[in-house]
Amino acid sequence: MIIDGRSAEASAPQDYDILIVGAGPVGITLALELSGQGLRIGLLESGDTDFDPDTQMLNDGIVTGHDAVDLAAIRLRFLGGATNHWGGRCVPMDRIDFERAPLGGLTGWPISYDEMWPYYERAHPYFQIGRPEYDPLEIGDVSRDDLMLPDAEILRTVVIRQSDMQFGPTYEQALADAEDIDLWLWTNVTGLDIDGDGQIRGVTTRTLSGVAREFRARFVVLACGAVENARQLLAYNARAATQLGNEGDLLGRGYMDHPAAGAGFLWLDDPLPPQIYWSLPPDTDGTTIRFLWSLSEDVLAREGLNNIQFYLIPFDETRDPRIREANQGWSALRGIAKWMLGDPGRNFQFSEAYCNAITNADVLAADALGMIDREGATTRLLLKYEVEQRPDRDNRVTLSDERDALGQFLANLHWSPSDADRDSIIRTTTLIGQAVGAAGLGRVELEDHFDEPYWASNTSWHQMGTTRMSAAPEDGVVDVDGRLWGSENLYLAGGSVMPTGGRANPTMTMVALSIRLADHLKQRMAA
Amino acid sequence: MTRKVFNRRNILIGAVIVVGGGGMASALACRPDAESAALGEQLDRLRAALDDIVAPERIGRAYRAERGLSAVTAEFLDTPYLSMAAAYDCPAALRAHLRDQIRADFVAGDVVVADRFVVARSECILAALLA
Repeated sequence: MIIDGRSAEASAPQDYDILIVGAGPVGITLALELSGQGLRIGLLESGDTDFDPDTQMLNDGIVTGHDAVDLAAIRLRFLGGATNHWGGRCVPMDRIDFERAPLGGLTGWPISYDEMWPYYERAHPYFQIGRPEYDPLEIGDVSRDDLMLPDAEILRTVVIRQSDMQFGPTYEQALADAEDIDLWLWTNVTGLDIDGDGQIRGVTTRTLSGVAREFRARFVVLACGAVENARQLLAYNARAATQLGNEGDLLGRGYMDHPAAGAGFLWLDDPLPPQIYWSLPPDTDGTTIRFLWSLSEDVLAREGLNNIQFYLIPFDETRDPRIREANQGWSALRGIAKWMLGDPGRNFQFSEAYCNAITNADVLAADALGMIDREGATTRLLLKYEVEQRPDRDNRVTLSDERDALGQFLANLHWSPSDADRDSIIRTTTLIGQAVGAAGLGRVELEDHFDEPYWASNTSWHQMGTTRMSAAPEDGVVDVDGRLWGSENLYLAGGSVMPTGGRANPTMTMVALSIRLADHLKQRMAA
Repeated sequence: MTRKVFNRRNILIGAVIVVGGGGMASALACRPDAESAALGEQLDRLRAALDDIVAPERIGRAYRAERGLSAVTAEFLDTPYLSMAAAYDCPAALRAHLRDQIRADFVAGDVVVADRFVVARSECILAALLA
């Protein structure tokens, strides 16, 4: 059932077995996994089923360090959360990410890759990405001959499965139909009700229109993202003058993103026809597959380098520039066609699509007549990286002195990727240069921006850390189950509990962890 | 830059090819000259290799600036494989010989970052002396 929280009805305290705060991919997955168990599940969403600018501004905050992050933009505050603007790239973390301690200190994952894998498998249907296959040689018709540098000791080709869905529109109907789930829209948590023993009784909420409510539950799960999870707990600790979950002074600390930018160019000795790395072939189940380069795990361990992945992007000055314009035009026409059929997609805007199609009409015509060479060989590739960021205590969420429209303290985020992160990228790219030289493939030219502030890197809009999972309370904020250290019934879910980020786009790991938490909560409820 | 393609020796070799048959004569032509040439002449012959270096001027300038010309010259003389290459009269054989050496540098990890290019040591030496 979906409930408009702005309604004055149901003003009495609401009782649930499990209360989930945040209806992004993590919260939605958790609710659906728990459904059908005879439980009453409350799912609280700050926004609506669609974008609302006033609600979105509740995400605003102050950022110091790297100014690429805008807290009001990198997350979305409506049903489906950040999947409403995500890239859809799904891949599990690597085995080494779970096995090694973070570079530069702090503790690593207290659970193993083998323990996580079954949850990764179960996450796949949620993303509608087909089978859980990540061996490049098992994808579609791909053979060893299709891989670039298959014999290089330092490199490996890795696979990302492309999801084209958003959690909000995909699961809205399922949430509405579920008799054991109440999805409360427009409902912002303004406080945690926790007793002196660390046991949470419930939460207080308020809508922007002023409707206040109380929710009670046997178990509460905060699934609001790495910034908001920390912000809620910090706000509670500040109000209650306590340090719940903060024995190791790690609450809010260890914030991580995946800094991204160009690492360099690969100048090819001989022009290359289209390769799987930029032609996006489908798997046998139809899922679009992205092939990337990453370092072998042996080299990562031996050299102590950050995990990293590289997109190989054709970057030819001689490549026909009309290809991009034609692609935009075709995309616009497809959008208009879907709109006419009544299925426009969430982000479709007719005016924009119409303008795109008209502007590129001449190029579209040329492409339709086969006058644009799409099969042209490539002589230069951009190596675009997304790199693991070493967890650092100083990268953290704190509370600022400023307040939002609900009177809550805004988050203050300090995000500052380190010189060690940069040096790792340079070393990795140099190793790739060595490998391509040894293979006679070409030469690598490093990018010219590594001396610039934060090396001209950008955010990947990934938020991790801040409530780290740990085996001991002094090393983190939550235990191996995601339960807040010092509490029996308050859990945290999502990217905030990840002690390291690896190279992988994090949403799949977050959803896999959510399924794992659901199993744990089912066991606890049964007991 | 000049390549002495039409010197007397090559003309002679060409004649041998015509008269004596391709395969055997080609093998003779691409065999290193037993007599070592002077440094200037060696370098002159090696210019053919510049075509195989991605940005020889940038790499050469950076490597000269880092090492100094005399040190680079010493490196060249201490790298027998490079001076041996100069003994090839056949440019194709010379370039193949150098490609092997450059590849071997990469495999051995003898790699230099010169003006942001990740290149083999041998490439740097050649570019620094020739470009």
